[in-house]
Amino acid sequence: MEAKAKYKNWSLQEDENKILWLELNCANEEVNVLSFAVLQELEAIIADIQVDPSRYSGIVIISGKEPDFIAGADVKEIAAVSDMNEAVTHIRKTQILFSQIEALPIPVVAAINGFCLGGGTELALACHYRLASDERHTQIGLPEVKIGIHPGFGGSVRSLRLLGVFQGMSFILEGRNIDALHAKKLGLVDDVMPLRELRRAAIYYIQHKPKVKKGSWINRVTDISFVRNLLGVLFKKKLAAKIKSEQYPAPYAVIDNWINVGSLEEKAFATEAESVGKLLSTPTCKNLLRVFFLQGKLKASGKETDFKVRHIHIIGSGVMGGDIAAWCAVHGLRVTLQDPSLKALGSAVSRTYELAKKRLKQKHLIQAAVDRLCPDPNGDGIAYADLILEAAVEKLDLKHEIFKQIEAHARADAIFATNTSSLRLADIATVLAQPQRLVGIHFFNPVSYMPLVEVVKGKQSDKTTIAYAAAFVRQIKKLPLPVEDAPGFLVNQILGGYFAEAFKALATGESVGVIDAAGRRLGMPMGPLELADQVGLDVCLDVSEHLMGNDATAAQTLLREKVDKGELGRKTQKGFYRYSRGKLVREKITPDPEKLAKWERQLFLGMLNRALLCLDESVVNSVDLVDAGVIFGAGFPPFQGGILQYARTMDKQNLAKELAEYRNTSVQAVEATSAWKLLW
Amino acid sequence: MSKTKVLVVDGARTPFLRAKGRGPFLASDLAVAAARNVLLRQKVQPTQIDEVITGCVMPSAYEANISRVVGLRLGLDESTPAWTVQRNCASGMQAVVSAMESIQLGRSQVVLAGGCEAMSQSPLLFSPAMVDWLLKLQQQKNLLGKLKTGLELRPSFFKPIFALLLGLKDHQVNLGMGQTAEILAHDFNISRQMMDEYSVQSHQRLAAAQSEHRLSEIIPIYDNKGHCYDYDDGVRVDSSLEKLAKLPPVFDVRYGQVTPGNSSQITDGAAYLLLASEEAVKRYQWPVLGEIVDYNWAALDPSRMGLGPAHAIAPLLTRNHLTLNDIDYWEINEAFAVQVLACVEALASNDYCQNKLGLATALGTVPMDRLNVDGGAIACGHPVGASGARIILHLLHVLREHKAKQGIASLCIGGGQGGAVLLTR
Repeated sequence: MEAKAKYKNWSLQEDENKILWLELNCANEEVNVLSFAVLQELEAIIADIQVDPSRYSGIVIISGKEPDFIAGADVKEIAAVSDMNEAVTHIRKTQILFSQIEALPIPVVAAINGFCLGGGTELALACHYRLASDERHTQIGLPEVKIGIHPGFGGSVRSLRLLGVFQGMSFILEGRNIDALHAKKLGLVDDVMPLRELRRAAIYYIQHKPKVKKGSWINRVTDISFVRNLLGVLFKKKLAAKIKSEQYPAPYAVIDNWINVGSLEEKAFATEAESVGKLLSTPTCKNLLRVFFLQGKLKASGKETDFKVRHIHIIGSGVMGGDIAAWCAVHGLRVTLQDPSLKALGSAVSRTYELAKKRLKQKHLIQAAVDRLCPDPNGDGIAYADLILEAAVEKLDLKHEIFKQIEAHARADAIFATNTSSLRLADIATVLAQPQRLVGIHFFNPVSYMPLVEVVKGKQSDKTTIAYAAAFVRQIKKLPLPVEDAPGFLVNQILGGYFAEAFKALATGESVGVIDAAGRRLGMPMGPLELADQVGLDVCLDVSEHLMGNDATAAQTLLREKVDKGELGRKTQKGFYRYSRGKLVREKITPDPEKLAKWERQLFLGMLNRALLCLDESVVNSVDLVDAGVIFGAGFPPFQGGILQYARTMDKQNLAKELAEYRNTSVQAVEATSAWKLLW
Repeated sequence: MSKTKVLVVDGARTPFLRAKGRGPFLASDLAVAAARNVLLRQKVQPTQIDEVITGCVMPSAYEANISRVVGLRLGLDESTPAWTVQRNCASGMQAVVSAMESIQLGRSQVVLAGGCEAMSQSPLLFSPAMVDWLLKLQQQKNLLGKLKTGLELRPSFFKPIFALLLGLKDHQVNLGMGQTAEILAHDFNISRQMMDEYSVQSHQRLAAAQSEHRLSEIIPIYDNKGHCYDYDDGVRVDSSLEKLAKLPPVFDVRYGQVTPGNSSQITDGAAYLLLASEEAVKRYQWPVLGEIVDYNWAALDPSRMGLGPAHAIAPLLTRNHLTLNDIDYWEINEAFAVQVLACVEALASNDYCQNKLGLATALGTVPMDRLNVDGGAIACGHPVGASGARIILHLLHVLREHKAKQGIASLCIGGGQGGAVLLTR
């Protein structure tokens, strides 16, 4: 091979078959991104090729980094954009660059191994052929909608052309990554092969030039103005069932663009670029970018150690313990699960099987995951484990017994954790000879959906233990949020405000349906009472005192009444709602908009009040971490950028007044708190 | 000759699950479930195991060299070799014996050995005529050929063949296993009543062991739907002579005496033992359940295969300078009630011992209260690959419970063989 001109990020090599290998290896970056610099270099490279393309038999675009192809555009650069015209100009320029690649008279192959996201996918779509390795980390997607925009480098146009409007739309609108085999089924890639064959496959495609995929006839039929108008309505209707256009405008913009100009004509590109420019200035985009960076911030904790858990021992196979066990087994850990109830252990085995089936898909991987989970009624696994996690019933003396056993049998270098949500670590640790080994690792229900895990720093926990716990949370692909050992930690403390307001409203005679509608109006994924049903009303009652504090009395009366009747929520098919075959039965209501707004405000204030108190008490030490907690742990709507970010958009004076009223103190008192100062 | 002592550290088995249609477990599922808790409770590190030996008669097509499948699924080190042995009903015993030899030779220090069988998973086969037709159809190049071959399909081609039934027949002598049992009934003049009485006792003994929680070697297992299985479900607590008398003979149909009620049950299960040299036991500070002292294999007329234990036990006792009275407890696998009774008769018979076993006199009578004290395969079933390992494991538990010293575990082997293992603690 012959090395070509030197670029910082790209290396060019021509092989004996006259194939030009364009290898991207971004300098000073862990992952490949299409930054301005990378695109600039690519522009120069393509311009040089265009002088005499027939020098080469073909071009292969490939990554020089092992775990990814191209992870997308540089989000930092996107976030830094201030001049929208400049942004549109940059987008147009890149679109033209990609179109030049598409127009090259020699075959261009994208040889994809690893993550191929956003701009990376758009570049691949502009190539004549796309080949993908069948490695598990090969994932292809257009996640732009997750940061409030849509593909801008021709991706939304070319996906529709290639995949047809039905498949293409869901590919763009859902922003989900798909694996190589699925991508082949969709027609997104031409072929899938083991990584060892990827380069030879690329050579094969260049030498044999199979017919280039050009979308089906259905595209041309559906891409007629009046058909687009009809279908567009359908797409929007489907979308409206999930998200609202004022909250998440980007997916709607994709549909509108298509209705207006379709995907076949050249002007579709200009429309796409303009549309991204507009979206970049929306608050949703700014907030979603904030969420993106918050996620990165959380991922950073625990990075300082290379601690890895090979074996976790979990004590307690209830809803939480069993689901944590399943999650860990699916994520490659050996798990021993201890519980005196064989029925509870069996249930965890079946949940592991179901989760593995959903996540791992292939039979041998599913079997391996189930094999990794070993029900262990006698607790023999304690002696093996790197990490022992207690997820038993919330009773202090029981936990004391458990931790005595743990300490007696565990390896000297193992760390101990509790999934408690209502007890203090300091109280649990009293029975330990080495209390510094205990940390809180607090998961949320349902484990497989909630990305956040609170790492609770007990006063007695040492730094290493905390770092190890965070590293473990990262290892199992969750987001660790270090919090102080305060009642309810961060997320439940804030959710406590949500519940408390709901029960207060209920006590005034308001209906369950209206209260929950108000919660959803705020953007929460579930109303407070539906959430209570989900958690279990008995559990709510158990933790009510400590979650709702002074507001607990009204709630307790209501809850006790339900619990005494055996109405425990979803698990007994009856709670605040009725459930028919596991599905919630929602009664149609037409609430008074004024009332709805009032309750929405109350629910918001309940949560905001708690969020600020947490900040005052330094449960976490920044506005960002509070917002990360409510978004990833409580489901607070991402488009608002977090509860404190949302508060910042309001009138300061007015909000101070409202809070003062809520707290029954003076405006000055509110303004004097440290949290208030951090907020503004 | 001083040999390395071969010690049993621990062992466990799954509950034995009676086949009612295709069960939820493959043989390797059962094996993994049985073995992993043994490794766990003895704090075995994956690298400490030198090899895995598994007995299995009929693993599924997905489980070629099932022992390797089990080793890998257990998470043992990938450098741990594993091999599978097959000696029909004694496969599990063969695995333990092979482990013993390997340790005695000094080739291995620690071996995981046992047996597994999922009889309920045994396949239905196409008839040879169907196979021929399918192959012919595949070879046709054009539509006309395909159509013509298609028309040659006959309804009789669809008659399935039960692989399990083929396996339970000795094709050399053209007798089903049950028929070899009928021959013993005839030879030793054992009545239907005696067989049924023995069978009722087997059920009662197992039921008693269950209710007194004496089967601590059983590990609960779970299927992917979350059901937990924690006892041998073949046991009939309400078994009685009257009920058994109603069952028809199924091998020598109509006139025979061997019924499903006085035969072992078709069952899924697995049993594994952790064996180690004395040195390894010291090094890893493991407990000792017992010692495997010696073993003997014997072969005889295939049509009387049920007498295999008698032929295996006699030389084992002689070689170890033991009399029948030196043995505290016995396990003779209950393939058929009549076959266990015939073995006891044979060992007590001057005639049989002199003429068939080459002894001067009869060995004596095995006391029934020392034989299969917690019931046997008639009650809990006989997953063929696993039973040999089960009776060794259970006998060690019985010796421990009764603070007894020596025991012999033995079984008959389809094809006309017998195996016996001498245990002490």
